[in-house]
Amino acid sequence: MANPLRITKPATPANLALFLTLIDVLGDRHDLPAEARSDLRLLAEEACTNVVLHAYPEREPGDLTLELSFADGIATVHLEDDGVPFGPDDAPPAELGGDWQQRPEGGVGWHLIKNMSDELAYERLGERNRLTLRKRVAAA
Amino acid sequence: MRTFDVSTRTDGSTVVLEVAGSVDAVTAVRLADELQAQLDAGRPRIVVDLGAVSYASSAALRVLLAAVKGARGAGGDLRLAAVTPGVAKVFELAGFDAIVQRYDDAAAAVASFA
Repeated sequence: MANPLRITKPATPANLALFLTLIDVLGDRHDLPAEARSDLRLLAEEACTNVVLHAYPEREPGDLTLELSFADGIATVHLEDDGVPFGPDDAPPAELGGDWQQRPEGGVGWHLIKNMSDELAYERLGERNRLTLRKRVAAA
Repeated sequence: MRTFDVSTRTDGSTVVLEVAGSVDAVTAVRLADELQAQLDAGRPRIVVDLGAVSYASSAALRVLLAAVKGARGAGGDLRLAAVTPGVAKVFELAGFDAIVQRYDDAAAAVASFA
């Protein structure tokens, strides 16, 4: 198995592009098919965006580590931060019903993560959030 | 490398935004700015042609839903054209189809306003 790809940067909107670039690197390294790249990009983007928006309220953003790996047909997206606890069960349920006037413009990030990943694990270890997402990748 | 581009043309009283590339947390603000510019200019009949968009995240949904509200509030609408399968998957998961009309191509979406 190749060494995982890893980046650690402050969890700021300006750094989101850097985090997402790592998905392209993983895709190129393992020659992943286009659909898998999109699925993994979505998982990584939604998870990183959650950290950027919610992990460090009212304080200077701390670091976010994004680690990506691929082995045996399974891609793993792993995130760590030392922000406030924020797991999949902490988010309010997505409001997907109702008419357009009532539909909130946000709040679907976790819903997409839960539906697009094959495996999801969240741990609060000491002062750190650890989120691991796995996705089976079909051959090109 | 992710790319993004948006260009605008008018077709009668409808404005068509042709979007290309990825609409994500980094690029969605550019789409939001263009949509808001059309609404500010009094053009609430909007078609967003997504035929060249290969990727969209919840950031795209957020921007499009805000524009749907703005357009309908101004007596118009925002309708989607040529949504690619990968993007359609995200829209369907998010229940977006229930509130925004989709058409096979921009011409059909423009015609729907007639």
